[in-house]
Amino acid sequence: MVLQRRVLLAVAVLAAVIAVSFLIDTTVSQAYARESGSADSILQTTTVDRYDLRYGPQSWRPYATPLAIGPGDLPSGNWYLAFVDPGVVPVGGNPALARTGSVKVDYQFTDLAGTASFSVYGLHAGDGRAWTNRQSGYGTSGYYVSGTAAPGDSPRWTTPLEAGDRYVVEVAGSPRPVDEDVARDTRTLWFERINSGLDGIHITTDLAARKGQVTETTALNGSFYVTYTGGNRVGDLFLMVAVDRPQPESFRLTLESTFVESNR
Amino acid sequence: MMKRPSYFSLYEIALLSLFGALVFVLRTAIVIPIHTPGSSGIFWVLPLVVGAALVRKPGAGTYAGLVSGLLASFFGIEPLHVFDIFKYTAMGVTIDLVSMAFGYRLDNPVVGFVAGAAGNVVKMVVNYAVHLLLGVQGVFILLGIGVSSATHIIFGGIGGIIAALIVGRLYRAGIVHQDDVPDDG
Repeated sequence: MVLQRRVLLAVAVLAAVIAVSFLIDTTVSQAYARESGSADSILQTTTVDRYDLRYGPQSWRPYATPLAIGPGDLPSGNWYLAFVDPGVVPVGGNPALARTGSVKVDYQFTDLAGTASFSVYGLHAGDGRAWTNRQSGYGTSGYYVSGTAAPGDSPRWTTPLEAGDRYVVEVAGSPRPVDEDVARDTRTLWFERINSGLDGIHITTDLAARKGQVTETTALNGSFYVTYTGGNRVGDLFLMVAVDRPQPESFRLTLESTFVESNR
Repeated sequence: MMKRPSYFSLYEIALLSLFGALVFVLRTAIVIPIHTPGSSGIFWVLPLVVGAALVRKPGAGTYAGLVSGLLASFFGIEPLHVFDIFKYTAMGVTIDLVSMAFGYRLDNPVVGFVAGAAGNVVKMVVNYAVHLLLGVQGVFILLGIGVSSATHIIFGGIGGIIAALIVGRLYRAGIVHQDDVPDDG
């Protein structure tokens, strides 16, 4: 009888631990976790102008250690960065258990000066850890577009990001820096450690090559796919658009994103 | 001068050291590709529960946990490196406490479940605490703690049940006796 009572007490304590954990989880999720990405096949359109390029000039992009932005391994050049939320996320995992698929991004540049680089950042659903596309070594992917427009004036509203393993970035399209009274739409990218988070998310022009490839083009209109080869749930997806020249006033980038289901 | 007898006999130290090493070996050699937090707990708790059941002395689980923590930190198999000692040792301490609370009835699967589940979930809590101490934002750690604690308890509990079945089998086969007085080594 004593053993039974102790077993019941122990089971009650374990159940209480689970209950308290879920309570903490729910409270923190409601306060902090925002997931805007969906896996619906609805076309999402986003427009980026020169004022959305809020970070830089800098030679690197966020990760646990600075990554190059331009083609190659080593950070170089003076790039201006914007983080765009396409509103759609890729879905990985077992196709028998989930509606897996990728994100198709159609881009259209107007008056692009210099080179534009696309990188992708995904956030783990629930805990904020981030993935990005690999910049060097096996499985490297990226997308670069070159334009011929004349550069504009140097932007005065940009600041370089501070290197680290956590980055709080403003999402393009949120209230402009002049609107100081309005809360900015920010997201936190957190990289747990070096060499982690580089092999889940990729940029590809061919869905058969899911791990992606590096594409360099002069086509100001085109498309690519964002694929996810991991098994976790992607809560949010961001496209990082970087340009290596100050852009003219007439610069525009229109992105149309949609979820493309994998063939079963 | 009388030689003071050591708390653990040589046989017990050897046995617990081997079980501690086994935790490390199982952790390294067997990977369950189900990407669920705490799933490796099935293997972690097994040698600790069996070790505590065979030695039947307070501190047996702690000793085996400390050995596995030292091995894990020296080999650097996880990102916390030297701080891994805390979570492995905490798991051993918890299994010790549960074993004492239940009078070392670790051949009972229900007691095995409680010991394994408690050990695995305390390991998770210590892991989170170390991350907090190292400056990781609390929100990143606490998001998902609900599912994580449930899976740690389930997988640790399964490991504990398996350990209890092994211990029960050893008792019934007569290889180990529940009322054995450990020899002096």
